[in-house]
Amino acid sequence: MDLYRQDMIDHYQNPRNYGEIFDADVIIELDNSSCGDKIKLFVKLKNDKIDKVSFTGEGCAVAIASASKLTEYAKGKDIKHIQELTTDDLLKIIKVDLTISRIKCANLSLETLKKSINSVDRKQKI
Amino acid sequence: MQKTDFPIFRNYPELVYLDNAATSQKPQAVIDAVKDFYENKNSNVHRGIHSLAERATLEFENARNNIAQFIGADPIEVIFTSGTTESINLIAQMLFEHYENTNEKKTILLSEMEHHSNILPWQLLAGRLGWELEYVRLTSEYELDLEDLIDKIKKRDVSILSLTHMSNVLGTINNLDEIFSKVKNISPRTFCIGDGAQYIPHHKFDLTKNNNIDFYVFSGHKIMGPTGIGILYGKKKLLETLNPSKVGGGMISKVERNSFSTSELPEKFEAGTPNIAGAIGLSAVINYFSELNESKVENHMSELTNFTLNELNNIDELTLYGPQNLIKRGPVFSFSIDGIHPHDISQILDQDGIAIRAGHHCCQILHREILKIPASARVSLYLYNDIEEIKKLSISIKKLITQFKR
Repeated sequence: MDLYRQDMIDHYQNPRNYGEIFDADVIIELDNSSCGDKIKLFVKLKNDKIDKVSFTGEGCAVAIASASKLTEYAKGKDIKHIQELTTDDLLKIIKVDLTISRIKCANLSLETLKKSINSVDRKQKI
Repeated sequence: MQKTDFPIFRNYPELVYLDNAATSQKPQAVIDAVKDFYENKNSNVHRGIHSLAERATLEFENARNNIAQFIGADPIEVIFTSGTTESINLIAQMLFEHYENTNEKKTILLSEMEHHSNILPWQLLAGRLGWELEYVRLTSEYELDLEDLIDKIKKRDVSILSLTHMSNVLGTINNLDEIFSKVKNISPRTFCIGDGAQYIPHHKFDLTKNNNIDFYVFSGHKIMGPTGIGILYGKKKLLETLNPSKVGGGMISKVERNSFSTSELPEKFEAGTPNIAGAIGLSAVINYFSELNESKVENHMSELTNFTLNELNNIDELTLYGPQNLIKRGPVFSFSIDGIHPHDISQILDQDGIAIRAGHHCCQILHREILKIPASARVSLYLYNDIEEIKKLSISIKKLITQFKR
């Protein structure tokens, strides 16, 4: 499947859920040191589900389109389900095949999302 | 020189390889020399009495002589290392020991265009000695700001100055001998170090005409040689006084229970079994060069550099970072395209069979603080590239710009 088909470029140029959530429970930023990509996620939880999620950041088409598609997917989903998502699941969500060197670009948003949820989860347990 | 001299292009005839600043492809002659060593001469060097060991030693020392002659050095000034990075680390460690007991606070001077390999060893050294680390600024033309350099030399007690001979991002060539000569007129005791990793593959370089360079380093793999072999050149009188920072087998004259004395140059700095096959492979590169028509290669490269510069300049959406003056630059071109990340540029070009590099090219300070971009795309040429390949590159870049057009 062509990585740079129109819907990927559309999500890159017009990312969904781009921006800040002011009453977010957690805000976490991760970066990819090899290319300088940065994704900052804003997450608000309600009854163990993702109530609101948004992101800001800069990066390549893969990183941004992946954050855009993942945040669309994650809204309303159970925390537990998100925590169990694998890289393969992510590739199905964003509907692309990636070479090894680009998987880390796509994974940046999933890693950030999982880290966000985990940190909120821990806080609630305490 | 023919493209078919290089097995990789026989195996991938369509490959457009424009990532030469990262590493170069290897001619058959170099691969054969390495293979021949392992098949017919393999033995450890020095101290062996049997004939195979003698043959290996002879080949290894011949390689050293060949490389020394190539750069205009005395063979005892040529130390084999694993590459540029190890060479600079070794110099920094030698100088640490040299300055360890001085209490004066001195300065190490670098420039804003240095590769991480010519920054990190000096950051460590500055930290260990409690010294200052300073960076010479760049001009708006992406050249070294010589006024700033001289100003810093005058105002500070600069003990070490380490500069790249050619930038791996900007392509900028620094006229090291001229710069170092000015520096030494003001501050004769400053150690002047040249990083030749990018310069050496493209230019004839004669140390006998560059008397102001104290240390010079480069890698074999960027000049068509094997990976894991590189050179540390140091002026004889410096290498004689400085102590080795790496110790072990092969570099001693006498070992006692609590002490040792070192052997003569160059073994003094080559602890452990060296990369014998690598040295022989690098020497084969020099033989390969000597069989080429020098002026033909020079003309080809300057024509190709000029053509690439014009092609890239003619793409409006593209921003090129580096000197426009051909005399001041080598064939390395870093650029960005607004709205398209360098990783995407590289990946789309790869779909067209064109290999370029994307990232910070081990120059984060230059990208973040000077170019003010997180990463760039880089095209770098070598003697086997041609005009047709650059035309393909230019078509592919224009195509991807259209693909991303809003």
